[in-house]
Amino acid sequence: MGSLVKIFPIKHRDFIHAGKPSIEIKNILKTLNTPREIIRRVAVCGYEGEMNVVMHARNGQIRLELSNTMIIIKITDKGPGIPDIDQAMEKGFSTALDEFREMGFGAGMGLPNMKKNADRFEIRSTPEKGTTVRMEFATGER
Amino acid sequence: MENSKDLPCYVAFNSQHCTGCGDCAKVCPTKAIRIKGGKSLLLVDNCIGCGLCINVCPQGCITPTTIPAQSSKHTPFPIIFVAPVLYSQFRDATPGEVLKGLKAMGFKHTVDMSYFFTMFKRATEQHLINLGPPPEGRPVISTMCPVVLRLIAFRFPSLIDLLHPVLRPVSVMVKDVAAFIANHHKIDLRAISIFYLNPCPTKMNPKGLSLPHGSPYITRAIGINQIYAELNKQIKALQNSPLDKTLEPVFEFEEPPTGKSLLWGISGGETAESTIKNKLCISGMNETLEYLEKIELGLFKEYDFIEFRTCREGCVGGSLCAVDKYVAKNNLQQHVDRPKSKERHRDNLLKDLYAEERFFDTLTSAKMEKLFGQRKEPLSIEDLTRVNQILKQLPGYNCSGCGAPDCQTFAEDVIRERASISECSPLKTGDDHTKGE
Ligand SMILES: Nc1ncnc2c1ncn2[C@@H]1O[C@H](COP(=O)(O)OP(=O)(O)O)[C@@H](O)[C@H]1O
Ligand code: SF4
Ligand SMILES: [Mg+2]
Repeated sequence: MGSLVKIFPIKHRDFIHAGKPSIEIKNILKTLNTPREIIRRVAVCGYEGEMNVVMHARNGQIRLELSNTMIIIKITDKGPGIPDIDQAMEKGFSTALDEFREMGFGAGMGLPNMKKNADRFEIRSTPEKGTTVRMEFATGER
Repeated sequence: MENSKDLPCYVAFNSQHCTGCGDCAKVCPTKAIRIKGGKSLLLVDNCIGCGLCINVCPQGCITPTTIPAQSSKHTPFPIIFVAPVLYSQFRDATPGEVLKGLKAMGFKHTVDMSYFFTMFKRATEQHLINLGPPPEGRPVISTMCPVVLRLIAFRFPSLIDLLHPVLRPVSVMVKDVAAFIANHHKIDLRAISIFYLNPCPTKMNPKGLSLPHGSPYITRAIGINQIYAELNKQIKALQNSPLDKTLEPVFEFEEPPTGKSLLWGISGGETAESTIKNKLCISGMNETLEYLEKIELGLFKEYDFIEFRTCREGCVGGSLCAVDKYVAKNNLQQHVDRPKSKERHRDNLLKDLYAEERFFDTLTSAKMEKLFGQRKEPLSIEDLTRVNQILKQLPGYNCSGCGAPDCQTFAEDVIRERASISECSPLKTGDDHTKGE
C-alpha cells in the first residue's frame, strides 16, 4: 500500500506563482493515470484554495496526500480567519479587495465550488489564527 | 549509434551531423526526445508533430517526413488540398493566381480548405448557442490546430470534454470532395490521390486523426517550402501569358477565398468573420501550454471560445512556411483589402447541414482519449516515491547532461528503466555543489 505526501508553500499576494502548486499536483495525478474527471476536480479545488490564501490570508501551504484509494488536499494558512463560515460559503459572497476584482478574482464562488467538487469538504477557521480547508477525493483502487 | 531515420513519424532525425547538443530535447513539449550515445533519439509514441525541434536544431538534422512535390507527377489523378495560409506566402500574386499556379504544376483540382472551414465556423457558432450561456461547457476549445488536439489528449486529458465536438473539417472534406470529383469525372475513387499542402509537419502521419479510416486513396503531405520555388515560377509564367482556360476553377470549392476567409492562417482568423465575440486567440507553444494549464485550473469559464495555435502568430509561423511570418501577415492584409468578389456560402445551406448533423461524426471524448490519450505507461505511487528519492540525489541543474530534457524526466526514465542514474554527468564528475533541501 503506497502513499505519498508533498507540501508546497503558498505566498500571500504572490499572483505570479499562484497556481504553480496546483499545476504540479495535476502533473503528479496525470503520471499516475488518474481519471480525467478527478484531475479536473482536484485542480479546480486546489487552485481556488490557493487563491484564497493569496488574496484573503497570509502565507500558507497546500499539502497533497495520495493513497491507493484517496487524494487528500489540505490547505492551511496563518491568516485572519473567517468570522462567519456559513456566510463565506454562500455563492457570491466575497470580501475581495477592488484591486483583486479588477484582476478578475473575487466572484465569491471559490468555497462553494470547492465544496461542490470535492467528495468530502471540511473547513475550520479560528479568528487571528488561520484557516484550514481539507478536501477528499475518492479514486477507487489504483 | 542509433539512427532513427526511417521512423513512421512526423519528423525524421539524421544522426550524421547531430552534435547531441540537446536543444531539441529541451524544446519538445511532450518530452519525446533524448540524447543517447551523443545523438538525438525520438520516442516516436510521444511525438505530436509540432515541428519545434525542426526550427531549433542548429545543424538542420531534423526534417519533416513530407514527400517531395515531384511524386505527385507519378500519380494518375492528383488533387491538392490547400491550407489557406498558402496565400500569405505571396505578395504579388492573388489567391486565384496561386491556385492556378498549382494546376499549372499538374494538380487536376485544387481544394481551398477555407471553403470548408467556413462551414466549420458555422457549426461552432451553433454549438455555442446550443450550449446556452457561459459557464456551461466553457470555454469551448477549437480543434482546428491538430497539434493542440494531440497536446490536449497527451498532456491535458481533463480538457478533452471542452473540445468542440465536431468532426474536424479536414475529415469531412476528404470524404466529400474525393467522392464528388470521382463522380464528376466518372472515374474510380481509388484513382484519385490526395495531397495536402501544409505549413506544419502534423498531417504527415497517415495514422493521424485527419484521415478517415479505411480511406482507399493515397494521402500525402507536401510542405509549402518544398513546393514554393516551382509554384512561384508557374505563377510568374501564367501572369505573363494569355489566360489559360483549363486553369480556371471548375467547382465552388476551387474558388479562391475573399475577405476575412483569407485570415484562417493567422491567429484570430478562425473567429474573425464569426458572431463569436467573447473569445481568446492564443498562439505560440509556450502560450498555448500556459493557457491550457490555466483552463485546467478552472479559469476562463466566462469565455465562449478559445482559439489555440501552437505556432506563433498562427499557421504563418508554421515550420514549413517559406516566408517570414510577419511578412506573411502583411501580405494577407493586402489580399483582404482587395475588393471582394462573390461570397461563396449561403448561410441557410450551412444551417441545414448542421441540422442534419452533417458535422457530427464520432469525435466523442472516449474516442479522442483512445486515439491520442496517455501513451506513456502510468507510474504507481511507489514508483513516484522512488522518483522523488532519485530527484533528491540529483543536482537539479536541468542541464540535460544525462540526455533527458530535465532532472524530473530523467528520474522518471530511471524508474522506467530507460536510463541509469550513472548517466547524470555532473553527478559522475562530482560537479555537484548544490544539494540540501
Ligand atoms: N483562507 C481564507 N482566509 C480568510 N478569509 C477567507 C479565506 N478563504 C475565504 N475567505 C473568505 O471567504 C470569502 C469567500 O471566499 P470564496 O468563496 O473563495 O470567494 P472569493 O475568494 O471570490 O472572495 C472571501 O471573500 C473571504 O472573505
Ligand atoms: S543535473 Fe543530472 S539529471 Fe539533471 S539534467 Fe543535468 S545531467 Fe540530467
Ligand atoms: Mg476564492
